[in-house]
Amino acid sequence: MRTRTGQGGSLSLEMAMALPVLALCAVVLLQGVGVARDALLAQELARLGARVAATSPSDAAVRDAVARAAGPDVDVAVAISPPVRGHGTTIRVRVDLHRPDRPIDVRLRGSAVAHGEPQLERP
Amino acid sequence: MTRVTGPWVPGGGSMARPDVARQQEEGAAALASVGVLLVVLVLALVAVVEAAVLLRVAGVAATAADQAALAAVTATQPGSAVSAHAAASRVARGNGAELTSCDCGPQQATVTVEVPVDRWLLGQIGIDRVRATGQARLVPP
Repeated sequence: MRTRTGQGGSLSLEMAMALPVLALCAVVLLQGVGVARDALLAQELARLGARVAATSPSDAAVRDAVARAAGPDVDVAVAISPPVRGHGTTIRVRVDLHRPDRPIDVRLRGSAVAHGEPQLERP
Repeated sequence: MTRVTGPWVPGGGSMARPDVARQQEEGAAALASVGVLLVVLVLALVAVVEAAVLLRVAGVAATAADQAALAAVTATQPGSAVSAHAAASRVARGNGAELTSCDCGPQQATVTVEVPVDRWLLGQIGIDRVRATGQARLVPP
């Protein structure tokens, strides 16, 4: 009877040591899915920003469109180059995305290039 | 591990008690299942990473194809300094893609781009590049 109790104890100890590792792996997996989703979001935001930048000369309009698409839970920094653009200009928009409530601080970047459209020349 | 195949006989010498053997087997089975679960989680993590890379490359390719098609149509309008093909190629390259075909007409453009996938695991299953097609049509204001 004594032996049986001892075996049961060792089994519990092994499980107690293994379960945190499993839990950690599960958390890492879920965080990985979240980071992957945000990487796709950063790319889509850059695509949207490039599209707006190709038709609007205002940087504020680009930033506003990207911020509205990103939603309130995400911090985004938008870089647009060149500062002055016209018809035929190659425009690059970079979006740096950061989610403040994530336990791991990961900054993700999306980038897109567009061709300036004739609307940029119109007053 | 001691394996008991018959009934336990009191005073049976070195033969292990069946309840002890059962405990040992249960312990080994529990550890094995934890190990299997751990392997499954690690494989799932690898799959998530590879799928994320593939989806991101697909997103880049879609962006490049759409922007290149728009650039091709825009370049056909008066005031443009470059040809439709050159504009599409430049935009595709800027987006990290390679222009593979451009059916660039005056009112409509269909372009195809490819983006290389630089991942060993995906390469092993035959995915070494992602192709995307974009279309744009000029609509007069």
